[in-house]
Amino acid sequence: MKYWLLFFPLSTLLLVAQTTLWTMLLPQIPSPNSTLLIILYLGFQAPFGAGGICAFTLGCLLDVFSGVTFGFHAIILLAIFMLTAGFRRQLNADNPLVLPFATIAGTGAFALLSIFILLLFSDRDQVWPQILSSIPMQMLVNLAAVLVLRPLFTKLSLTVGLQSTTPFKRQG
Amino acid sequence: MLDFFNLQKRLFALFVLLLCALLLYSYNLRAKSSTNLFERSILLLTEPVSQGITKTTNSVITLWQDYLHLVGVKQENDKLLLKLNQLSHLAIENNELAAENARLQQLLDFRDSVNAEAVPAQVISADAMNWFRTIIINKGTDSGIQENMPVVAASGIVGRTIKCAAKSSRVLLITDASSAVAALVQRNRIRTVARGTGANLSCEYASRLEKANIGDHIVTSGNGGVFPKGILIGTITEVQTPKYGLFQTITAKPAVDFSRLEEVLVIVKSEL
Repeated sequence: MKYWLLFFPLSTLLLVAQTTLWTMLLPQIPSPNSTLLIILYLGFQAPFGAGGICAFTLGCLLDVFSGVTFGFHAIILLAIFMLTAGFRRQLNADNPLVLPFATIAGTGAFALLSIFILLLFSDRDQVWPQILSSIPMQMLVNLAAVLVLRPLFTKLSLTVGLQSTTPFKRQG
Repeated sequence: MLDFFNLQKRLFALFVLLLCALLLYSYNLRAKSSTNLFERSILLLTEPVSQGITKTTNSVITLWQDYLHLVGVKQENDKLLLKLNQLSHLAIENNELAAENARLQQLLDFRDSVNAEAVPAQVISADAMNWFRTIIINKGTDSGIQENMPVVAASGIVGRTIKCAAKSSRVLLITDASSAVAALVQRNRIRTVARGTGANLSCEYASRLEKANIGDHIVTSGNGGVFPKGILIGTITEVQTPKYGLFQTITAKPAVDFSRLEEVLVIVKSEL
């Protein structure tokens, strides 16, 4: 519950900033996918249950802020959380390079899962060329954003007592 | 077996959650035009914040572009500068009001020309995902707006509403890949379907019997049941006629510059 209480409002705030401030100040640069970054962070940090619920609800939240059928991002972010949480035991999560690496992989996975679900279910199946062409730029933007946001996530987690002083305490 | 389930119960719970997400998505795909309680609540809660941020940022940008530059350039003339700044601030406000007035006048003229009941609205935010083309406007069901209503600007068609909360609505732009508008080439009345490709439009199923030319205007045909007839969609930029096949391939540039879109009209009642 603590994870949700921290990251749901934070994600809402970041999404509002992303859809208003970012598009006005930096219209030529694609905005970072802040929700994905939160889910990747939670993938290394949160227990399965709490993280899964966060992934599901933040996915629903992202659906409200984007013009896609409700539930679309809930599937994708939940799948990405499961992948990240499943792999965290195999990775040295204390290494500061792990989250940036996960961001690159996560951005690619997010795009591919989006294409897969859109092709399979939706009438938006013609969007895949746009998604594919935007992947490299999106990776760069997300990478830059994770370097800025990671200290914030860690600090907030420490403040509300979700995390020990070790940046990536292994759980789950 | 029971031990295995106990060991893997968290994983099973996540798979159940994933299944729920899949069912939720599948359900919403069928019930396309409804806005659920969660969506309405979030839109209602975030609309004032989004609008506040948009207005403040606009003011800061205007101030920065047209006011603070002067401070840096003419530091040495403090007294004169103060007066100048006050005047330029006033001028900026006047210019902004004049520009807004001109845009609104254009919208009013347009509303009169389409002979429809329309609600003016302001664009308050864009889509959170870069590959979808939607915007949020500051009017919703309280102003009589519902899903699937046409949205236009003075220069042409913008899109249609897809989600509506009390005080805000999401508009699917015509450039989105899932948008398709029944259209006509204005000059020779070739029927086509204008589909979004991100930045431009691809006009599909245009018969090759009569050739479309670069520069021809594409207008709504009124056949789709959403948009009134005769509203400008865009201008043809490329025409390809393959050696074989029934159709020609037409690419068009939207009439509306979506990067500069500030005010729109939602047509709430029209005679198609």
